[in-house]
Amino acid sequence: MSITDYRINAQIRVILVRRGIDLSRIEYGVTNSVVYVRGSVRTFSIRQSVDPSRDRLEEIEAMMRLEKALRAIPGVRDVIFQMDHLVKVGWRWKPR
Amino acid sequence: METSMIALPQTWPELSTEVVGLFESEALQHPTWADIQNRWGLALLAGGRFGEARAAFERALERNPRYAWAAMNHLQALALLGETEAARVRLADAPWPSQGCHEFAEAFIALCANEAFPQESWSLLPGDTSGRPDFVRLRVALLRTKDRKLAESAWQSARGAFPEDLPDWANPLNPAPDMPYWLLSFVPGLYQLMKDASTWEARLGRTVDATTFAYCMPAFWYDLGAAWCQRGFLANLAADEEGALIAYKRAVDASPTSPEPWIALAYLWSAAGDLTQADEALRQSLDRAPAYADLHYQRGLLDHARGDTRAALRSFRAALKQNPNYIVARMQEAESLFKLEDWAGARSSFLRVVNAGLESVDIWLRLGQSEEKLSHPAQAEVAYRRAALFDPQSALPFFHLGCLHRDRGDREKAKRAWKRFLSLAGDSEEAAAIKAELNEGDA
Repeated sequence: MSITDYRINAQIRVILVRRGIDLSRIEYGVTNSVVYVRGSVRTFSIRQSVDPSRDRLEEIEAMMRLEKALRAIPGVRDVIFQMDHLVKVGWRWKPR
Repeated sequence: METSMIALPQTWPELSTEVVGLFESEALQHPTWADIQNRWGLALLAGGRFGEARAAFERALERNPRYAWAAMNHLQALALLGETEAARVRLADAPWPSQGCHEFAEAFIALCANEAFPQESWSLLPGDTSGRPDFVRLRVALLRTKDRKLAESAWQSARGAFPEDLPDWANPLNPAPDMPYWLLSFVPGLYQLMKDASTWEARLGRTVDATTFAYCMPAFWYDLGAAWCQRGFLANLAADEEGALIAYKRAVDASPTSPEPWIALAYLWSAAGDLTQADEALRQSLDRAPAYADLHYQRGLLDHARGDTRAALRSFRAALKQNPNYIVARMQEAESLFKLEDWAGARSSFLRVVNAGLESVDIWLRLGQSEEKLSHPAQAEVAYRRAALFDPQSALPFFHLGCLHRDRGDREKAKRAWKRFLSLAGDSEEAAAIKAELNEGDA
């Protein structure tokens, strides 16, 4: 791992913390400028919604925003996800 | 958010309806979880519902009779309800969370019952030996002396010793008429409730309320380290890195043995790119929390960044020892082994990564290269094909496939793979060499 990987790794944590993502449910790492994220993107915020379909939609939107933020970190070559509840098909996120 | 600008609230920190609802809902959902019942009891106590609080603490103790804090809370609920004898029975048989609690509880019962507290017991109250301000003992002493002047002076001393200005509701000389808030200020368990309420308010997006509860914490239990950590946590949430750094540094000063602030500082300094400070914070964190897998992982990342692959490998393995399912650490272990040219080790670790479902072009290529080094061409080919399948637009799998076929003497297959490579990355560094090799073969 280069110093770039180390810095990317630290930036990922900053992004996750600022988005209120529960860090106990997510693993992340960087090798050769490729970011790996696995687990769940449950946010720390309490959601008032009681509609599961709306929750899923919000999770997908959160995932899209997270992916965009991770890809915007300088030096990132690719981002690989292995999420518990969501899967990326082509360019779209879908529930598993 | 500049947390240090917010003063300790001078009115009783009343829990919001939403937070009370959340505590209650948790208690209903998990009737057998002792800590959740205990927390619900504390929320009831804070709201003046002492009878219901007692029942909640009893549920917690039914589940875990050695739950020391629940026993303390139960005793205090009994004393607040005026059940002095029952409180004393509890006092005799309760497990105590820390030194001095027995004497503290004894004094609390005496206060609630408006009885004289033996002079000789004062010196046993917490405060004298731990080095923290002895405001607790002073406040207990106030009512017993019945000497207004001395009481006033002791109260002022207590306020002076308290860094955030002790709130009025904790003043036994000016008790609120409807609620014994000053007595509740002697319930140390409410410290944890304030922390939890702070976190819930943050999760509800109400940062000012979250900060208010964080500031109340030391009024109940003088652990400034944990209170500063909570402020650091809130500053982090508000993207105030500078505020978070200040808070966690204060937490280190206040609680030198606690791992929490060091861990937070390690992450903050890493993000700031200060590897020297991050290194020191990680070392301190690991001294205090050696079983925390992520700290070993972070240590490995730092070692790797400094080019010490062997040290990194040791750290990643230490992380995996604590958590064998830490797949990202497994991937870093594989990368380290690959760099150290331990092909069998790298192959084994990469296989465990892909078998756990984490895959990428890089991972499959690394696995393929390890297989090749181990003279497993068939397995190498499978790995390269998996890389190509993972991302059909990636050229490198075809480059490696071509080289593999060439080395096995299959020129036709090599040419096909390389042509595919050139179609995807004709301008790459490797393209010129491949073109030359293709021309050489055709000649």
